[in-house]
Amino acid sequence: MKYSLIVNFTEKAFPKAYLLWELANFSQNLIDDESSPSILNITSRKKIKIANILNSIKRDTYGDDFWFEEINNFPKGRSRPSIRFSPLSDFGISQLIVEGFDNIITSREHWLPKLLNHPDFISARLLNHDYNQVQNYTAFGQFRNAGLNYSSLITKDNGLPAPCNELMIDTSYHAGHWVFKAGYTEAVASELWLGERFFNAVNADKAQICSCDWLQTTLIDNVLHINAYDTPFDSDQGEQREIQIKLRKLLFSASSHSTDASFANLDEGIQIQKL
Amino acid sequence: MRNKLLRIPEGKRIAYLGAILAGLLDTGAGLGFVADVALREMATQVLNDPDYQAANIEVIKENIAEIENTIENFDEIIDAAMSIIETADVNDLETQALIVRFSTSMLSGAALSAATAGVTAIATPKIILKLFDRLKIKAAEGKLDLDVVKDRFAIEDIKEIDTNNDGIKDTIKVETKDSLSRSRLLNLPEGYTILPDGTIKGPNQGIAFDSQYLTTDKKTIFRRQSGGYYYIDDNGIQQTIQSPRETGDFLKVANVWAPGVHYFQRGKQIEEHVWEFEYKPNGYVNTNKIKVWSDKANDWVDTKSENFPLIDFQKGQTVISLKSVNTEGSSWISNMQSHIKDLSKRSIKIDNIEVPKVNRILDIRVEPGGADFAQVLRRYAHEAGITLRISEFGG
Repeated sequence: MKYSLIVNFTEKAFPKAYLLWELANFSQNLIDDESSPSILNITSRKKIKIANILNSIKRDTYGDDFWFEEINNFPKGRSRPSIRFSPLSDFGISQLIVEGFDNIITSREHWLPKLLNHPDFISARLLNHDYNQVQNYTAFGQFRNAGLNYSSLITKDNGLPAPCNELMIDTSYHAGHWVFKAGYTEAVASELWLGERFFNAVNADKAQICSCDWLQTTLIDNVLHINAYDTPFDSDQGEQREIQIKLRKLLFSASSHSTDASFANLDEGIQIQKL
Repeated sequence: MRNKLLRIPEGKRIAYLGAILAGLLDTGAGLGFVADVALREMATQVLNDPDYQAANIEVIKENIAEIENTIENFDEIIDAAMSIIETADVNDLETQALIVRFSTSMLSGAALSAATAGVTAIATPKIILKLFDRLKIKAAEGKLDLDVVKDRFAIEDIKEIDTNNDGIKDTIKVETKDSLSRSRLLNLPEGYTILPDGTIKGPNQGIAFDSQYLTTDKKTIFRRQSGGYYYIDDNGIQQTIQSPRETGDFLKVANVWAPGVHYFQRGKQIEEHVWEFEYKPNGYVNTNKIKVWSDKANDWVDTKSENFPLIDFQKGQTVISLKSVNTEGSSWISNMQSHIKDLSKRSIKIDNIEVPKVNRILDIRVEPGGADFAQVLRRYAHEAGITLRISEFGG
């Protein structure tokens, strides 16, 4: 369970989610790359044979999402490899998450290009699973579970009315945090794929990005492929920290949805430490 | 293969599955999938002969997915059986299979309601009595501590009795321990009859059933088939009362997480407490107490649970879905994942305005010490755009 690959489309990209499942050929990928005869369907909370997944999504009442997880004996408190897709109407996007199925993610050249070429594609990012989780922990209990020190992290009020009002960790100080915005997800990764819809949403200058000598960029069929580091980010310190902050500012400073175009919180030097 | 069974060696695993099937068939839960008859045969052989036939093992193996999917409270059964086997240190496979079969019978369908309600249960199959008698024999042989079984299911004894004094034992009675609120006999006065389906026929032929609530002085609250609630006072007179669900005026157990407390009782009791002490003082509305207009009744009527399947409390554009979870189980993660998905996805409108996802709060109450384990859900809520609140209840 090392990698996560997250792909954003527009909200209405796949009103019939089975079309996405089919496009990515996930059933065959699960059989070929993960040797899984069956999987857990979170929607029905029942085990299902891989061969029956497509029909199962088609039969679903709404049919605009799916959520499947590996059936295994994970230690208490850990999550399981999963493939899930859901529209997020509040932000006008939809999100595909392939998480922990490392063989499928590693062999993405067989299926990802079809998604990148979809007219409603926005962006995709490859992540180190654990690092991405830790950087976005908001509750003290999450840090305790992971053996991490939260005493020096910045907290904020969750803004909810009583009795739900409580303090939470403010992730905007963390180099690897992500946040949903209207039309896109504000997030950075060492490997990114950015479509035209992304650039329209964040108002970023594609030419300026391509001219950065600290990035490897390739433009294929109007999708900009960015390599910012040779492995998925797994640290909020040193060179990796610098690149993540620099990349976030480069991509999102011009967006009208960025609450602070300078991302000043990231300059506070907040790092997550082990206990 | 389910997580619980993965920890069990293969030979034993098949025996346990066979015993579960037998328990389901015993209590008439019905499976309705292929090879039903062969599985019954298989299950019987498992109990009688650990060296069961290979052909029947194959039947089980081929149908494992269907079996697991059919048994809705599979995890609860395995949890119950394993806790007995481990606590009582039972090493004998036949006794272990017997425990699994008995657990299945107790936790499935009619047997569960009979046992937890403590009713005189005509409808309960005699097999429960037979299984319990076999457990007694195993206990006498020193292979089992029967008290562990009794404690797990909060039962004192299972007996066959003669209710009409005609010399023929006609009823199976599950005597339950008085420590739990559900543990009491109905003590119906003359003129009342318990029908085979467990419902109660009154002196005026009215049909009612046990609401699963007790008055604060431990009298059973019945719900009329025609609607409305009553209890029978010390003079044998029906006293109409308001719905205990609405008033919250029912007998509470001391520890909602104790073994044997049904999740229904646990959830209701936690909901009442959380409503009374947290949400009500902060000006929230309890969706159980909202009245809706009925064209049929031409009046405002009480809501039913199906009116607000997701939402328990509401204030302005903030809605709360309250859930109680015992993280010692194994199916709670996928149950809550599914609920998070529903809460995020379904249309929820207040005054015809869609409630923003961030204002959709899933409030989860877990057993003492379980809050950190439940944190695994937080990232799913985050990704679904909803808000998660996790805290411990009791302890």
